[in-house]
Amino acid sequence: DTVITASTWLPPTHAMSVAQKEWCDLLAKNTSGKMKCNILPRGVSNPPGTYDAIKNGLADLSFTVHGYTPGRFVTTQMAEFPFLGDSAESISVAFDRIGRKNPAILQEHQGVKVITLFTHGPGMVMTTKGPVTKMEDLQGQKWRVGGGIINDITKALGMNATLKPATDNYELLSSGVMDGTLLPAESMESFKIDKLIKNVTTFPGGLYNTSFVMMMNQGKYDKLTAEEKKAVDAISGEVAARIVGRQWDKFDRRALGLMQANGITHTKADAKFVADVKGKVAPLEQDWAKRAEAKGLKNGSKVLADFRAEIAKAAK
Amino acid sequence: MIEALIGFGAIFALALLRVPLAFAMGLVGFGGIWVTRGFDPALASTAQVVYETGFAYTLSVIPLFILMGNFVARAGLAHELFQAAYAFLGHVRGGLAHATVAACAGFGAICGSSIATAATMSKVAYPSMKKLGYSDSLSTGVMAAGGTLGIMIPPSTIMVIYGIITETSIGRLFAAGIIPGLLTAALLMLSIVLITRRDAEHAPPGVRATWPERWRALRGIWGVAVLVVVVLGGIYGGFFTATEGAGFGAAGAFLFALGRRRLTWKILYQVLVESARTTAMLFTLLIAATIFANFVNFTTMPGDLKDWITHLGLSPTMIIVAMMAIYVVLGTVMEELTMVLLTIPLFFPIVTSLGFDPVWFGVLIVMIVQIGLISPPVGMNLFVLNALLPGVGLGTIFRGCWPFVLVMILVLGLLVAFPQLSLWLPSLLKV
Amino acid sequence: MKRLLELLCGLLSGVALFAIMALTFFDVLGRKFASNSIPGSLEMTELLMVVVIFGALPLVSERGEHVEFDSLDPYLPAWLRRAQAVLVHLLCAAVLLGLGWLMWRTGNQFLENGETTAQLRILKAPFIWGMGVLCALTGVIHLVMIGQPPVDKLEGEGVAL
Ligand code: NA
Ligand code: NA
Repeated sequence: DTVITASTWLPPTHAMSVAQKEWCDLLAKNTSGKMKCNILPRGVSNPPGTYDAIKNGLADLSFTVHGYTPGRFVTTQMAEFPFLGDSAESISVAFDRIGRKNPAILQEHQGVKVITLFTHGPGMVMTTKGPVTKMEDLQGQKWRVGGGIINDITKALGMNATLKPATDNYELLSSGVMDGTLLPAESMESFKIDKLIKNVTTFPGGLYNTSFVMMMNQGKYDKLTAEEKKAVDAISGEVAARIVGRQWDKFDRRALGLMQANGITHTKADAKFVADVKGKVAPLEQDWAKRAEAKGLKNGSKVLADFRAEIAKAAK
Repeated sequence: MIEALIGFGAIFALALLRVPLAFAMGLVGFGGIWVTRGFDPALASTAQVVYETGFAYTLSVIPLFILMGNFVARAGLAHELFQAAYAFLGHVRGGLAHATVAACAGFGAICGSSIATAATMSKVAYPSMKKLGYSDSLSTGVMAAGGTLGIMIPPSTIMVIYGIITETSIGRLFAAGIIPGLLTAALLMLSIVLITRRDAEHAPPGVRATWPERWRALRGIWGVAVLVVVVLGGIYGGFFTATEGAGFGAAGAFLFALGRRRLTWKILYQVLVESARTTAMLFTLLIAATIFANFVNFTTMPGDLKDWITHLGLSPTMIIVAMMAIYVVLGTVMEELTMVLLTIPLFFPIVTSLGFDPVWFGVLIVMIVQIGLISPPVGMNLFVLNALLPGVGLGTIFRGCWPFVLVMILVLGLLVAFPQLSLWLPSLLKV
Repeated sequence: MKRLLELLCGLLSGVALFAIMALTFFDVLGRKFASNSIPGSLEMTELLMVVVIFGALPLVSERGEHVEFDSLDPYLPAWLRRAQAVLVHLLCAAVLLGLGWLMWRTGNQFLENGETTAQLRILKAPFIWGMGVLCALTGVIHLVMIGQPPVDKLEGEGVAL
């Protein structure tokens, strides 16, 4: 029997931990229990160190956010741009497809076996104060943001944003140090800030996103028998992207339901607001294309366009 | 299970051989991961823990609070605190002892270290007590016990360490320590009343201060008041996070020391380097403790231990009481930081799986450390006073401290029996 | 030599600590009153923390301020304590020299991956190399200390509780 040591840096009830477990259970089912995961009680590393932890074999299976190790992943930032799509499942499936079509993207993941590339649901604006309906509302308040392209987005939008880990959300918002935060819907529950948030502003397709990778230690994969490799491959790629995307979507839906129950106002960005944001962030896409091409990606702008088309296709 | 037990055993063996604890834990943790996961993973994980602990923003709270305490000690604020407390309490029997406890509580509100609090008081309070004819055992006992308020009343280094290794909110821990700290101060004073009634000769009352004198003395402590209000008020009032509050407090204490002309370049350099050294020492321990905890994570120990405890069939409260009893006994012979770092990976998962609040357990741990710091034969506060007051023997200090050890065990019992004492305040504050 | 080392390490870690303090102070003030925090203050704090910790590490070892279980000391004969000290210094030196090598290697990997900080895009590799160098230096200090009698430190100095 083959045991895969799996690690998660999120609580066992979090969408990501649930999704990873679902993937493990599927693997066990498909191999009639010959392959199974041993999910460790605690993550083997803090979030930013997870990529290296898997690469170096500290655990065999886990997932991480590309933006946690700035400078290391450039091509994957395409999955973090605004207005990509409304469901994690379709974005994730498209992201994985594009990733496998363009070798430069998988090549950035040196030393690990990529199970799938994926994203969370649409990123939104959450505040403890009044609703955010226009650009000026974004510029007049203090925001917490995580890593990745979102840094550049807030800069382009002229927001007073501070980079703090997601786990600090509760402290920052409850104490009033920050007025708002940028997160996907499910985070309201997982970071226990649903009682603090007064207003949520959503954008069609999301204001931003976060790209993730689920991966296996390369040595562990190489040591599997041909049959075992086949079992892993069969549920890697699109299958895994769907599993994870669906869990994110499910948790997002639940959080949005909770939002209504808590009386949080839900503002939908109007056409002018969206157009204003689009105008400001457009240069970021060209900048990314240039940086991605330096990392070996061919014709970045076209890949981004393909990605958008693929998302639309997957959403059908 | 067996690998983890061997690991714990190896650490104890190395520690007994006088290998510094950090090196013992790091080495055993490394070896353990080597055995359970392989050599390359062990190397990688060690490197990762080292640079991640080094690069951790939230951990900057540690050096900043240490720095604040050291600046405050140099700014001479302790003297004014003691004067103010004496102006109000000096005229009763044992007035100087009461004033010492009150001044310790006040000083504890800006300094996160028990030993620093006791050491500072020995310079301020001891000469006065000596002059009025207090017995050495009483005065050192009071200073040792009062000094421990430094870690219960926020800020507190041990709470920060506990918060970091157990991922518990430092803001909530700080809030939780306030009532237990004041309760300890009150019970210490009550016991001083009882002690000095029996031995009135060695604790004469001082002169009663007039109200104008009292007001003048109060005006002398505005510096302390400002710092406490800024740091705690800032943290709970939404001005900044605990980490930022530490930086703000350190800067405030620095400005105070500067304003009172207590800082020369040399003193500034000493304060900074001393704080940096303490930081480096603590971080070596944190890094090693994390490496060891990573090893334990790979073993079956956490699960096995939980099962074993459940099979014992004891009530959750009885398990806590048993833990506390073990701690009090261990604390008499062990250095407390060692004790906490070694036992938390073992006890903490049990406590949370029993459904107890980690903040409450944190307060209990701080109380345990307080008791350990003044319980002979190995008690850091006692050793420090012995070193700073060469005229007073350890035996005398031991005799003076034991009533206060009993008082603090009583407080520990109250904290176990009434979790609200710790948890009520954090539940009110938005942290 | 010893003086120079103390001064260098002291200045390095002390100045870095002061910088963290000032940075936090002005960052908060800036955020509250000028509604703009200092860009990259978080990651500058992180880089400076590395300097504080590893810059002061040689001083901690040199002054024997690591937490140790010394309660058995009064019961041991002098020769045994001397032998014990030699062994402990050798062990610490081995650990620290090994760690120095490991961090140097890790620094190389960081350079290869091009890993930077998030906002200011500062390369992390030099800081990791710095950790390695200072760990190794601390290891050498332990080796030098083998030939010297253990210092009697003032009780309570450098303690944290
Ligand atoms: Na304190
Ligand atoms: Na003790």
